[in-house]
Amino acid sequence: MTAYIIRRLIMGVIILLLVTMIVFLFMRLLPGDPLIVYMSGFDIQRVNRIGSEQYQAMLHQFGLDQPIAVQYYQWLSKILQGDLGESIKLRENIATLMAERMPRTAYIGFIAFIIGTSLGIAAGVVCALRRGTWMDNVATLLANTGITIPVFGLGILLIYLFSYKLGWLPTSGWTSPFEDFWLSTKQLIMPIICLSVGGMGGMCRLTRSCMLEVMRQDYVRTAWAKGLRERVIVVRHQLKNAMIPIITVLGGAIGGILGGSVFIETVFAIPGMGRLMTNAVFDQDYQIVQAGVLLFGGIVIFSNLVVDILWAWLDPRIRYTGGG
Amino acid sequence: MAENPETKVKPVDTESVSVIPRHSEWRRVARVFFGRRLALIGFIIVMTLVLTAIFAPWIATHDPYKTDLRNKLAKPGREHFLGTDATGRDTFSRIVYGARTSLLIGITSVGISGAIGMAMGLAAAYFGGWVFAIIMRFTDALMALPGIILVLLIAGLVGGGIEIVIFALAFGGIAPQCRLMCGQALSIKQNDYVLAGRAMGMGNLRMMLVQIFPNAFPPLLVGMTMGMGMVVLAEAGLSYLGIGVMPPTPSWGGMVNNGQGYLLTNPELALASIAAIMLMVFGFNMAGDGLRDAIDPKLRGAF
Repeated sequence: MTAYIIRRLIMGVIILLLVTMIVFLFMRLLPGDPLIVYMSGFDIQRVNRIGSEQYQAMLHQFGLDQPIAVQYYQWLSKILQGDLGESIKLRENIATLMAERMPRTAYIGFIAFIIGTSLGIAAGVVCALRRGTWMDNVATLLANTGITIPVFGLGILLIYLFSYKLGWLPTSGWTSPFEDFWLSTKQLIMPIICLSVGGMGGMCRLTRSCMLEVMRQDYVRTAWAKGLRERVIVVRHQLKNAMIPIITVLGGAIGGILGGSVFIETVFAIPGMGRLMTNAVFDQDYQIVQAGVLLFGGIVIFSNLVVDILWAWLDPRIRYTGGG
Repeated sequence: MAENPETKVKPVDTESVSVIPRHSEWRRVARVFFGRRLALIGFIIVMTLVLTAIFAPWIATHDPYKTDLRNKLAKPGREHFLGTDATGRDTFSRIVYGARTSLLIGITSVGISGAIGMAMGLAAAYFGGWVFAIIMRFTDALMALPGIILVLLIAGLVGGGIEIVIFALAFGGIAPQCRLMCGQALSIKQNDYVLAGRAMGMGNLRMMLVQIFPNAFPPLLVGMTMGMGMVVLAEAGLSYLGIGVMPPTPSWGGMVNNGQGYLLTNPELALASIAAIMLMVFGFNMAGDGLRDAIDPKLRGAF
């Protein structure tokens, strides 16, 4: 088991390096010049007045005059020393920026993840057990709607309903839960709903089909024949086996939440990591984009790693065959 | 010496056996697919939207680009089905033309990512060894970023526009298609007919294209149908954020963005476009679900 974990860990690091390399290449090879943005602040008049000498000095200052491989190496060695660099546009230390933004995204994302997964799995189990009833139909319809609706669309729909029509919740904004817990919660209800609905729908559909698959297995029939109580059969025999494929998508669900945070932070004006990334992309702020990719990629790879380990632990068949 | 009627029947019987039409797998798939209500609904939705996109100039009641400042933010009424936006453009017509934008981007980007992803997956599975390792690590890396963020990065850093969005979405879609193809091809490689093909002296390319690809394709068709739903969502998302399709080209995501500011007075601006996005994604998802059930009974109703 330890060897397995170590092997996966090394692979994870290699993949993370590959992601940053691909993004690095993309940013350097594609058109667009961050320095123009930096020097001018979107002021075309000033861009024309910038002397080429000053421009060259700037290029040199950010190391942009080096070959791509050298730039990447420099960036990587700085990262390993714990230095994420400085934002070209915001002129702030990126580590500080991220330490401020990420906890907000993580707070919202974590709650959304817990709600989405637990409710989704519960709904899927109920659907499978009451297959064909109105409960199944309603829940399946809701799940299909959940995976159909765009995150930002749901957000706008909720704002329209709860803020404008009913006036129950504030339209947007962010307050730290340590400052004013009640206000913070009121502001976060809609973002959390938006963020959890997609995962919930997917989880419900998956759980339902896995449960239906498991319910047909011989060992379940045996369990019924032994006269076990329904609850025991559902929880110990069916759900436990159905969980194996469900767990494999948990890593993807975390990725989905990170992706969704880009939208909810825009719709609800939350100054989190997703918003930071979007703005950085707009501003061609390579340094932040690069650090954000490292962070998001790291989170996804790490959660996939945890999922793999969890999987190998739950299902010994995988452990012994190497599990890919 | 009258012949025994039974012996007379016999040759006719064997003949009629050979006359039985060849069993068509696609016909069976079509029967299962159209037999499912939700799949049928999905198919009808998709076909309707495709027809809407093709015949947009005849369906739209107004020119989607024509501004009319005297009629700005008109309420839904007889002249404007769904009202007008802040510059007086007819919302209904823009939604109709938006179907064109959405489908154009969806079909081209899924087509491109499908072609590249399948070629890569096929090569990885067929050649194995270091080809497999390199291609798989590449897809691992691409899939380490949440799909929408990868697409956002590419589209945003290059700058918006339809071609860029297609490029970004196509790039983002390569990895899943590649994985799917690779898995399929790996299991198909085990079959005896592949061995037979090799024994007949087929070349690598011919083996891949004639033996493996056609047998691996059906599940990929499901993947591509589902992919259409995802790509439509992603395009809408990009356009909503302002990095996708650029105005004045009508796009549903961009229209949601425009309408967001008028939720209080003209909610139909944003809500109609949201409904359009949902309709299209729902159609593709349901059609994909049905197709999956029809193609592989083992996966009935699965993810």
